[in-house]
Amino acid sequence: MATRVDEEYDYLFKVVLIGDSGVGKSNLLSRFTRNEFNLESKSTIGVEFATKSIQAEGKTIKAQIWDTAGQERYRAITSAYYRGAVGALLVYDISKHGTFDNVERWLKELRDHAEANIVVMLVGNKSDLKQFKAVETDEAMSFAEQHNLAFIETSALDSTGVDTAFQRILTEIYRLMSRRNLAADEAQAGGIKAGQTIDLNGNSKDKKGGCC
Amino acid sequence: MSGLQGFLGKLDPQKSQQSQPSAVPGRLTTSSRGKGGKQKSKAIKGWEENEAGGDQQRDDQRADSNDNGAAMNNLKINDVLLSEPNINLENLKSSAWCGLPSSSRGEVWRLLLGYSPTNRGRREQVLERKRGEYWRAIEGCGLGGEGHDHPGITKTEQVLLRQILVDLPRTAPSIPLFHHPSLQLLLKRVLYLWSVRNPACSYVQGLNDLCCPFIWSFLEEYLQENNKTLTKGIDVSREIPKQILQQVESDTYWCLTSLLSSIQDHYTPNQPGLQKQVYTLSKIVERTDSDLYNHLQSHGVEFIQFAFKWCNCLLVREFDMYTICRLWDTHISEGGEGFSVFHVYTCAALLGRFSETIRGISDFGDLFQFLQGGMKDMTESWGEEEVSVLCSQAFVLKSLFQNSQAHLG
Repeated sequence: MATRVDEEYDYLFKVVLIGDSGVGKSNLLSRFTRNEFNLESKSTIGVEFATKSIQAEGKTIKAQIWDTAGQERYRAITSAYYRGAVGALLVYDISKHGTFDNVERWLKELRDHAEANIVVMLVGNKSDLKQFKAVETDEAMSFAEQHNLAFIETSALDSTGVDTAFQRILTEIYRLMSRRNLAADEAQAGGIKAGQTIDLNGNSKDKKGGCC
Repeated sequence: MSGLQGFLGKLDPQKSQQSQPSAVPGRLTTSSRGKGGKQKSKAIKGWEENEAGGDQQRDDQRADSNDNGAAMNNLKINDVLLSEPNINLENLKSSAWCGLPSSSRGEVWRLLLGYSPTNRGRREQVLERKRGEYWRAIEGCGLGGEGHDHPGITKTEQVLLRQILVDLPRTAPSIPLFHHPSLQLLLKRVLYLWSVRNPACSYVQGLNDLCCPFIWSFLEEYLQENNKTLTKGIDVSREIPKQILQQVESDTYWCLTSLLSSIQDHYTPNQPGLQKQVYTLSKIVERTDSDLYNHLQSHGVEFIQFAFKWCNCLLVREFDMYTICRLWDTHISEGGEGFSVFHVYTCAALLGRFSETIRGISDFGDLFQFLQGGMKDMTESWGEEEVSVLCSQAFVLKSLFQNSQAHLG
């Protein structure tokens, strides 16, 4: 992959945004990567994509984030994008319980199509809609514990928790990777044609993260 | 628009007169009895008050420039539309292929999509029957009334309705017109009825985008009959009578149905027709612009990543409303194969048009951004000439490859 000189990074991690239609996946992405929010953004057709680099434990980590369409109809197509992903933000809308009920189905999607060690973070978005809260924090938290997921509540609208969510999942992926200290052949990890995980110190890294 | 009608009027006053609503059955008009005149004068006054708005001036200019380009063509189209009791569809197609003036676009689309009959004597009656049929179907499927609560529908239908309701406010967000409550209701009913009547496909995100060019063209048709023109921020409550909105709605439904019937497998599970189209596109580009193809390949950009949306939303998201309507003139004039076949060559021509720009981008993220949405910034200034060139290039590509599929193997 051709890389601009001003965008050097130590690690490139692929992260997918999944969850029901209308929960705010695209706005989480635009808030994180461009600090933008659109109350009425267009629905995502197929996939969209953006990158952003962050610092974690002294390393520059470039996140390659794939935003997928939420409608069930598109799952056959979007699940192809799970390949090579080391992290997933599974998003629901705290004001619509139905979107939380579907979280289990999304976990199954990940089990079926993603790498076994993918780091998953459950994200309750639209936390600004306090008066319409339909999914209690405790309920979501115990679900997350039960399924070994990280958990956070965010608001793409007022920015609450957005940077923290991405920072946490990327740091977690990095730590797991360092802990394992695997130096597998990067080709084995496969999947990210556009940008293999590159360690600029000269070592190839296994892109796989691990479940927390 | 008034400019074009004036131009036509000078050339042939009789024809100009003929193009008044009463002479063309089935056009979107309110009842010819008295009331309309009063509404019209009031509405025009409101219009003039708004005229200083910059956005509207820009919109007017866009409509003007597109229409002036097609002025001569308009003469031919009016000839076809008005001269014979039975319209010759082949003649109409060949004229419409080069672009329609927005004053007759709605009428021609209805004819070319097989919704409006070619026999002028039968037209009004048939359209009235079909429009009535639509409204009875809406009542029948439990979606009558103004609100969004429909207790009579099944659980599956409620899931479908919920998905449509999620997408309504996200339809063409930059065009306030589509966000007027009456138009949101219109979209909801059209999409819902189509989805329950086509269970093999049902609702697929992006179908909402496909309604917009129809709604836009039919509203424009009505406004131009009244010497006005459509702007993105038009005050629907004041400018469009309820009766017209109802006609626009039923016409949108029937025209959408006709369009989608030729590309059903774009929207069935796994969307095989769409995937095939994207594959064909990659093969065409591989053959015709290997530099571009190799550039995309070497940077890891796959056609499915960006062209999926082009084929799912039929390029509605890649152009503004004026330009997409003009582009659809050609697609609709291609008959049943406009969106199933010609469309893929249009996509190839579009990539060819921006080949140099794309080849100049060497970062995967930037490439992706450009193909995903950045292109729209570049097509925003497009007028008649650019679309004509694009369609001609698509035509050439189609002539080269459509009947020699071995080349694309």
